[in-house]
Amino acid sequence: MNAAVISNWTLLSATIALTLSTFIAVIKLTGSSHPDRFAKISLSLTGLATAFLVVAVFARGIAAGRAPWGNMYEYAITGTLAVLVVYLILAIKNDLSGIAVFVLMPLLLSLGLAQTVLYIPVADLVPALESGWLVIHVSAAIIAGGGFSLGFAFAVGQLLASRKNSKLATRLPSSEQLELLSYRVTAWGFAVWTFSVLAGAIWAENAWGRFWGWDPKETWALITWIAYAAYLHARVTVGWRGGKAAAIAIVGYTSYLFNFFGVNIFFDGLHSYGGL
Amino acid sequence: MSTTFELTPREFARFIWRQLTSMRTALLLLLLLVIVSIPGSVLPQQNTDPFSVRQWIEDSPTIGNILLKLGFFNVFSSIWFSAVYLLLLISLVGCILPRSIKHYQALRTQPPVAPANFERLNIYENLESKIDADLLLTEVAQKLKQRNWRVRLDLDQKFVAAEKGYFREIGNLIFHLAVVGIILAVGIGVLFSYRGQMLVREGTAVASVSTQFSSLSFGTAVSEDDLPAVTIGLNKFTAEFERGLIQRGAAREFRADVSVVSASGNQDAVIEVNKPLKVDGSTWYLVGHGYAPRVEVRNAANEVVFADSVILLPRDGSFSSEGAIKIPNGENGIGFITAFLPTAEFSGEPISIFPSPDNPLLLLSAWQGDLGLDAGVPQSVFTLDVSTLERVGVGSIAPGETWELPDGLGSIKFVAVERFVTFDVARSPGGIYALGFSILALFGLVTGLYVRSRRIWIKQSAVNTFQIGALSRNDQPGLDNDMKMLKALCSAVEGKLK
Ligand code: HEM
Repeated sequence: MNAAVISNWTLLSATIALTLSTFIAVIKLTGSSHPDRFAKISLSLTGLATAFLVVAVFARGIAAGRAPWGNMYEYAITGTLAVLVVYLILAIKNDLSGIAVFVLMPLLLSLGLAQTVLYIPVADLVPALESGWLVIHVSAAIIAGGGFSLGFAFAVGQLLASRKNSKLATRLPSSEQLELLSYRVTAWGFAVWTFSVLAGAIWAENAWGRFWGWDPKETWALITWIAYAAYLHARVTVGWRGGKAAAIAIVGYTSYLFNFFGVNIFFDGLHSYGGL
Repeated sequence: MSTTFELTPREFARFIWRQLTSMRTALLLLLLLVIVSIPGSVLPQQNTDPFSVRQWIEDSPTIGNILLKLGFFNVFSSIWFSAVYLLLLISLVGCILPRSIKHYQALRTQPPVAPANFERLNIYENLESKIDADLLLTEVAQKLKQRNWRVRLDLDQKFVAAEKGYFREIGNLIFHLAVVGIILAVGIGVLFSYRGQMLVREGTAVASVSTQFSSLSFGTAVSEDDLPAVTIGLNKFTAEFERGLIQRGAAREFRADVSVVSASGNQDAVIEVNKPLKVDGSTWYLVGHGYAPRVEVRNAANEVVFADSVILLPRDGSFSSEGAIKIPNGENGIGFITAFLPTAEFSGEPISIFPSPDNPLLLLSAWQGDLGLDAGVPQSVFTLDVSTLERVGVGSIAPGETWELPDGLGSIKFVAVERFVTFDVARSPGGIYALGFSILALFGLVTGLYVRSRRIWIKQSAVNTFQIGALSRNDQPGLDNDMKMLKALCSAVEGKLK
């Protein structure tokens, strides 16, 4: 069996484990007689899915003979892994079971999309991507995305939890708790994103002779950065804390996602090597 | 009529200034900057893609011209974009300078007194101790100092206040100042930068003088005289493409072998996509390539009238390329509209199916008449204006083959497949400063986000009873550790004094 086949099979296993985990998290959320046990089972399954995904991503890298960050399929599976890892780290110290569904569902969607729409077999890189900076710049962007994705899930949870007379709100952690979690992962993602944009600029100077050229990908990276800077300011501005800040976090995440999917699909720039 | 709300100009100015430097305004300006950046990525921009801009305006001239006038095709140097970021810059400076001063003063004053009511703190606790209050407080203050807390000991009011993490605010200030630095470095750097593009055919050399560039632009503070005297000869260009079935035709390797003649000496060098060449302050980047078939054209008398390679512009991923060959000769000029297919295949129209020259074919359409080159009207070298010409015929030739033109007009021979490359030649001195400030910004950011800024107090509230409490900025976690530390200190002191 070669590495590419191992990668595909472990990815399928990860998806199955994650599906079960999500299913159980839903049961837990909608009310069961043993919420704690269900929470634990769901978390263990999430851990199992993460382990499978680690193997899948590594095997993909071995099969390709390079870092597995060359096209959107690879971004999607590595990105999902990044979210899962940040999530598990956070879950060590915090009880996240009340919000798990909001994290797991989009991840499941991401893995599903990866295996159906985005899938392409292993191939080499175009010369523009053959650089040590690929590893630094892209891995930082993906890791930052892990923080932003979780921040987004928590922000959505925060908005739902703050609704009055909502049955769901009573089952979620408090909106204050979710806001704090959201802020922490987002701020962390912001720092890593800053680093990623910086590394990207250095790489661009290396490859294209300018640090910054307003290429669509660069423009949207900056838009994402500014949106999250606005979010950090909103959290310390009277009258913007809470719901409005969460809304800005959601705007930031939308632009992050757009940079990831939209720019590859709609625009024709130097960064167009999504493999679609 | 006058109202009590009327402001003197001075009050008005102060009001505007306070508004501009408020957090809410900063927030709104940041959001506004997001909004005004979006058209810059949605619409083609003149500096990155002038061809698409022209196309856009041709397709919808009415809207196109309005958008052009309003700067939508040049967003990042438009007045409205600059206005937003200049306002943000002013707001930033107006916000940061006073804060820096305030923080500096705060560093030189003592930590604040213990609150009257500990219940307002993030965490607080009561502590029983039979030890003399002055002794306990003095010892605790001593220990805290050893642990690098800023400490205030007040034996009259019986409390110790301690503060830690002022690097948080310093980091935050460094971050914001560095952002100012980045903006200035970019803005000033543009004045001192130049950037141009040249096309170089295999076996030829180009010098960095303005006439050799296909495009060249200078910042306000530099001119042609600042171009270094460099000559670069392209000895050989190698391009490899994926031959497997997956991503077939995708680029795999580009490499230009060059000879460099410059003031600092002569050398042979290799320029690759991620490996530019730096010579005498200018940097040469390999940004593109294409085919330049070598042809030989003879006239009716079988004399050679043209023998050279001809740069053709790539039109698609398989490098189908187009261009023109012009041999002016008054009324009897000859012109060719030329298409080159590196790997030709005939399924209906001839097309190229692979970027490497596996089955090269030159398609020609010959025209005769006055090419208009002598009229002094500038023409594109890649197109032939056929409006005044007469069609001679069409032909297609592989390397080594010759096409005899009808009516004994002459012949054209496809001698060999050669290539050209496109170099970007640039100097951007602001970049390195912007980079320095960016690294500083990142450092400040991480410090500002992750240093925990907090205060702790211990105060005697009654005989044999102390209150301890802690407060953090921005709901940062970890206060319980500080509380634990403080309690441990107290019991250590107690153990020692017993
Ligand atoms: C280009 C404009 C700006 C950018 C990119 C920016 C970015 C940021 C970022 C990323 C943070 C969080 C990082 C940290 O705490 O160290 C921050 C915090 C802060 N910014 Fe800005 N900022 C900008 C303009 C301003 C302006 C104009 C003001 C003044 C009104 C301001 C006041 C603050 C304050 C007070 C904080 C601290 C918040 C806290 O306590 O955590 N910023 N800014």
